Parts: sequence; C-alpha cells; structure tokens
Amino acid sequence: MTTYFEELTAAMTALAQHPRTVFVGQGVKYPGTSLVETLSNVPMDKCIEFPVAEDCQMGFCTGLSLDGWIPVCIFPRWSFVLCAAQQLVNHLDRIPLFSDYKPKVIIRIGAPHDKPLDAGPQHTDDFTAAFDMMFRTIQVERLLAAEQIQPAYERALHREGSTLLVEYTKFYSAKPR
Amino acid sequence: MTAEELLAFEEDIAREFEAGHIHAPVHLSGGNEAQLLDYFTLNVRPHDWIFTSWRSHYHALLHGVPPAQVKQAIMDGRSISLCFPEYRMFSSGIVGGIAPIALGVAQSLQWRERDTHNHKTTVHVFLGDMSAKAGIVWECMNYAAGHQLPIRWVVEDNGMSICSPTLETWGGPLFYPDVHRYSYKMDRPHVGVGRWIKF
Repeated sequence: MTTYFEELTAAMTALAQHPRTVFVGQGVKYPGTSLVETLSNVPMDKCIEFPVAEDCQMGFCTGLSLDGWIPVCIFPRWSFVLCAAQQLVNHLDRIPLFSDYKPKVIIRIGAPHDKPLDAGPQHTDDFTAAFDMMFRTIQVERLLAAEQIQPAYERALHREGSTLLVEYTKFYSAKPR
Repeated sequence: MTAEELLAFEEDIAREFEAGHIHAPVHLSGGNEAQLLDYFTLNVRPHDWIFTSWRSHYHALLHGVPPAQVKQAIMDGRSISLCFPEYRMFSSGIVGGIAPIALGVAQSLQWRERDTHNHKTTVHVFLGDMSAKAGIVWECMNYAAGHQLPIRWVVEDNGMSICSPTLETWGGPLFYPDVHRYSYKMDRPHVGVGRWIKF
C-alpha cells in the first residue's frame, strides 16, 4: 500500500540507479518545493541545482543528452515551463526531425492544484494538452494514479526519445492505495 | 581548406539554388573566410564540438566534414540546420537556440574530463551579433563563466540582423544600466510561515 508521493519517490530512486541519469532543476538540492522530497534517495552528486533560467535549463539538459547523459529535467509548475517552450518545442522535440542526433530527456512537471491554497492564475494552469499538440516526437504521460508512476518512468528511461511526465500535486497527500 | 575553396563551395550552392534544385532556404556565407580560417587553424581541434547558426556551411567544411557530405545535406534542404553528429557539429535555425545546448555539452565534457584528467575538448559556439545580445546567450555565458566550463563564444559581427542594424535596434553598443542594488538577509521562508498547515 503506497501513496502517490511514495511512488514518485520510488520512481526517482529507481531512475537514480542508472549510471547516466542526472537530476536538474531548481530545488533539487535545497528545500523549497514538495518535489524535492521525492529526491530524498537520489545521491547529491547526481543533483544539479540550476539557476532560475527555464529555457537555459531545458537546453542544458538537451546538451547533456547529446553527450550521453539521461537528464531528468524538473519544473515544479506548468506556468514556468512557458519560459522553456522555445527549447522544449523548437529543439528537444524537433532535433530528431532535422538531424541524426537522438536526445533523450525525461521532463518532470508538476500540475498544481488550487486547493488548499490558490496561487492564482499565474501558477495553477495545466498546459499538458496544449504542449501535447505542439509536440511531434516527445511522448506525454499523465500520471493520474499512483500505480501509473513507476511503469511510466521505466518506459521513459527505456524508450529512445524524450518523455514529458505530468504529476498532479493534488494527489501528494493522498491516502495509501 | 583555403579561402578560395570555401568561396567556390558557396558559388556552387548558389548555382544549385538558382537552378531550383534546393527546395529550402539557404544561407550563404561570404566575406569572413580569412577570419574563420584563422580561428579554426588556431583554436579548433578535430574532436572539439562546434555549435553554429543557420549560416554554417563554412563551419562544417572547416571542421572537416567532407564537402560532398555538406553539399548533400544542403541539397536535402538542411542548410538552415546542418548537423553532423559524427563530427560533433550542431546547428539550429533559431536565434540563440544553440547556446544552452552547447552549455550542456560543455558541462558534460567538464565532468567527463575531470574524471579522466584529460582536459582537451572544447565547445566552440559561433553567434551573430544579434544572437550574442539575446537574453538566453547572456544566461549561458554567465553560467559557463561561473562554472568554468570548456566553452568559447565567437561573435561573428557583421552589424546586421537579417537587414536590421543590430546596434540601432538596441539603441547603441553594449552598456550596463545604472542598477541600484541593496543587500539584506531574509528572515522569512520563501512562502507561508515555514510549517505545513492543515486547512
């Protein structure tokens, strides 16, 4: 019997076992978002605390991937991913279409909820459908239930291209399934 | 390659384009043969990485990609984003788009070479003068300098962005605004009161 949050933690722990994974984002080494708690079993030397520079972070992960790493690129909210859209759509998604490079980035995004605290219209959107329509190569996985989480991350690790996984923070405090 | 060979290559591509044999945009180079020959001769080794923009025929040739292979890619409609993984060359048709990708490769090289104590590979990033002023490029330059990554930025300055004078659009040359800055130590958490509240 595990919770959504425990499944996320288990998925991150499993990803960290792979020798080529690194975890990139703001708050991957330091507290600040609830996401960081799911990285509690990830070795610190695999965590790259990145500046608040979303497009730069996204491209940085693509570059790491071109040289053989498997970055887990973490954004705590969809609203912030708008700032990374240029690298996400024009580059990571399109590179396999205009070149023989085969980047593979695992993108982890939190879709926030407006309860119990409503952070307002700049922090609570879910842009999954909109980005899914823009992608031609990136696979999108919606993590709507705890039991989907580990299989989805395992698929992301083993498929050839990049995967964007959306988690729903409203499930973070859910009871064990 | 020589300057004459570079010029001849672009003349050949121009003829193909004029004949209607290339069904995609081409961005021909010209006037910077001597500068690029100098830069590549003095700084670029065969195993280095090259990142360039949509105007990249010369860079590919000077980095050792065989002219026939470069020409075939252009004939296939890929002048705007020539990529040759086997030669560690990447280009993109988006202004400034190569900068963070180059940054990631440079970070990887730093990790890799720190482990092997073999500091020999460099990432070279070629940018136009407008791209060099883009916000994303400044972020990357800051990060690279702070982390001492093996990356060199090369600005190919013809003063123009398409047909717009770069400096006129920015209102003049590089300047730093008069920023008032004060320092303080924050004694509150980022959000809330620092404890989990049950509603």
